[in-house]
Amino acid sequence: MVNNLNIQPSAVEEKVDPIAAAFAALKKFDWGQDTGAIKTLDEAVVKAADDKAKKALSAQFCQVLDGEASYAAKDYACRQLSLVGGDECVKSLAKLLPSEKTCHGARYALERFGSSSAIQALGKALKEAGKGVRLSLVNSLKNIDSNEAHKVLAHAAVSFVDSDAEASEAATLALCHFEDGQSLAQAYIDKKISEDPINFADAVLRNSEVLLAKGKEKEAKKLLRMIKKGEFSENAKQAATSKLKALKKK
Amino acid sequence: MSNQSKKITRRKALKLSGATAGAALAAPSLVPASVFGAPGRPAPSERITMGVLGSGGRGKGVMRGFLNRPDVHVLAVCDVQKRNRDDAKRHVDGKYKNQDCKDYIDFREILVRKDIDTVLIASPDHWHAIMAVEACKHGKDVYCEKPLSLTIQEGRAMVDAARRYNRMCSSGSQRVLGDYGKICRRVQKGELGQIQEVFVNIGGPPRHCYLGGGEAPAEVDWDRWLGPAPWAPYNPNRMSRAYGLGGKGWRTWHDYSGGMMTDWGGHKFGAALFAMGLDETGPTTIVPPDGKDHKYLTYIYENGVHLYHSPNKGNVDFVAPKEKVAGLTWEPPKHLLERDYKGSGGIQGDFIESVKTRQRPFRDFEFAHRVATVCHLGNIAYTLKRPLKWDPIKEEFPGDEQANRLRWRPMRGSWSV
Repeated sequence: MVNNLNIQPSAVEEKVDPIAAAFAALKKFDWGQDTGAIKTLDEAVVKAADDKAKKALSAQFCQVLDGEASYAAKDYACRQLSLVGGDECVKSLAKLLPSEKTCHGARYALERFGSSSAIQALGKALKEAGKGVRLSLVNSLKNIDSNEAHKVLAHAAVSFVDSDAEASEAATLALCHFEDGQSLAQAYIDKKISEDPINFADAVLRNSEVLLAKGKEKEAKKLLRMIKKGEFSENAKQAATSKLKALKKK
Repeated sequence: MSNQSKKITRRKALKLSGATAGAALAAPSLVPASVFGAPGRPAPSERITMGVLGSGGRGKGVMRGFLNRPDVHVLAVCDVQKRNRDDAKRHVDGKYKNQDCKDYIDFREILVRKDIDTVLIASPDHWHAIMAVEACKHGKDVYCEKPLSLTIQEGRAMVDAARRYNRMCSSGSQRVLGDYGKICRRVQKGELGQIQEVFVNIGGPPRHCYLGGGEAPAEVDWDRWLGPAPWAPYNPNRMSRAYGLGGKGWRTWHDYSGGMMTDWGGHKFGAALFAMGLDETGPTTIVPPDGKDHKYLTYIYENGVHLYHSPNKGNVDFVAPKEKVAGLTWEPPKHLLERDYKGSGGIQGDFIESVKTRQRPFRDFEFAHRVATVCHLGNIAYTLKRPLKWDPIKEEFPGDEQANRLRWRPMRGSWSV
């Protein structure tokens, strides 16, 4: 049979890798465009069952972050990395942390990793980034429940006392999520906490809950009495008082 | 902790609370003579005062219910859209025949007012946790529209805050007893026997939004509307109240809502779990539809009950073939039968009654959180497209690091709970 169309068989049979095509589309993707071209990536992320598959995908998402892709494309990449990414992506994500615009996307992934290298990246950015993103970095460290994050926060609480009181206070209050009531009490005694008695009382009350969960009733009671007798809102005082009463009954 | 970059300073807070405290002492100037001692209406000092956080379509609708109660007085409204603020203020002032309702853009200015006892939260879902936790910190009782939360950990933070401050906190899923009360009571009385399966017919999960956009109109504070959600360009189809998953309103989108799974799930899963006394625990296995053995997303409880998300089957349909369970008649615990709306006026009356009596409301945050968690678990299973194990006590996916990542979403900027 004569091939009247003059189509070369090799050209017809040449297969396009749908994943590669979707990543190529992602690099050009922007707000308002049809997401059909990148939908393959949603499916690939969900299907990536083993580490090898996850790392292969993550490497390509990192390429998007490292390149000149749009904000929307990088936002998409960060969301997908929050599902399949790991330590191998920290370097690319960390580059986005100092900017107020891109910080949240990077945190979206790093906070969910919660690994040692993610904590180190957040801690490094906390030291080096401007005031605009410090509070958000503190929040990420607070949400990662680990001793390593605790240490970074404790350091920030002290090191920012003079240069950024707001970040120092936020880091101090964030410590309430960990087993360290003493630093909170000391901060209060030293009058470092002055602007926000409601948030401070909340931090102390939360800390007392952490201590009680760890069986440290004596330390918890000390904090609760501090709220009960201090210059705090009636709401906080009542919360402390009722908790003390409940402990007494027990 | 609130957004500290825009925080209300202590000085400003004291100034605000001082001003309102003064006003509260001079009660007649706060509540005008036209309503003071009106027939059938308690004196102002005996009324529950309320601020409305999020006074768009739903906010105004629920607010009207509270306005119609003689024992409630709405003092303030808040919305990031001027039109909503103006409409709500006009409505409140019209009801009380004065100009006293204060309108705010920033909800925290309502929270520092010492003359406000309670807040109604009717913002889009991505704001619920921040507003509720902050309200508890400021000593307010909370009526929060369903669905309670955007994520599982947000819901737990809301319950913790309510307990920490002994606040009365109710979720507004009025249909649990309002629409489905009859079947709930029959199930609870054991009339159907041991329930084996429940089919819940509601819509599906939300989608990610990559709509284009531009500058927001002057009447909308777009950054404040986004709040803790990821930054995105303004588009009316992101923030509109248009209902459903059609891409015309915020309930379609993952950053602001759990879609119909959470929006209707608050009602229908809420009714199913209430009826069976399973709203203080959770499923142990969640299986998404696989085209083979599981036609529907399936939740399996420790007691063997199978709960299905069946978007095209039934309504809230209980399956309990009595003949198959002879001798296993359900004996509902007494406390379950006693759970009902308290006070008068349905779920809103129940909330006001709980504020007065300090007894927890019918839709206490713990129950609402457990129901919202079922909805979130379904959305996570749909996202990951694989079966999941769930520990309802620890509220985590045992040994499943990827699924555990989805219990929480980092909040933008310095927003946090």
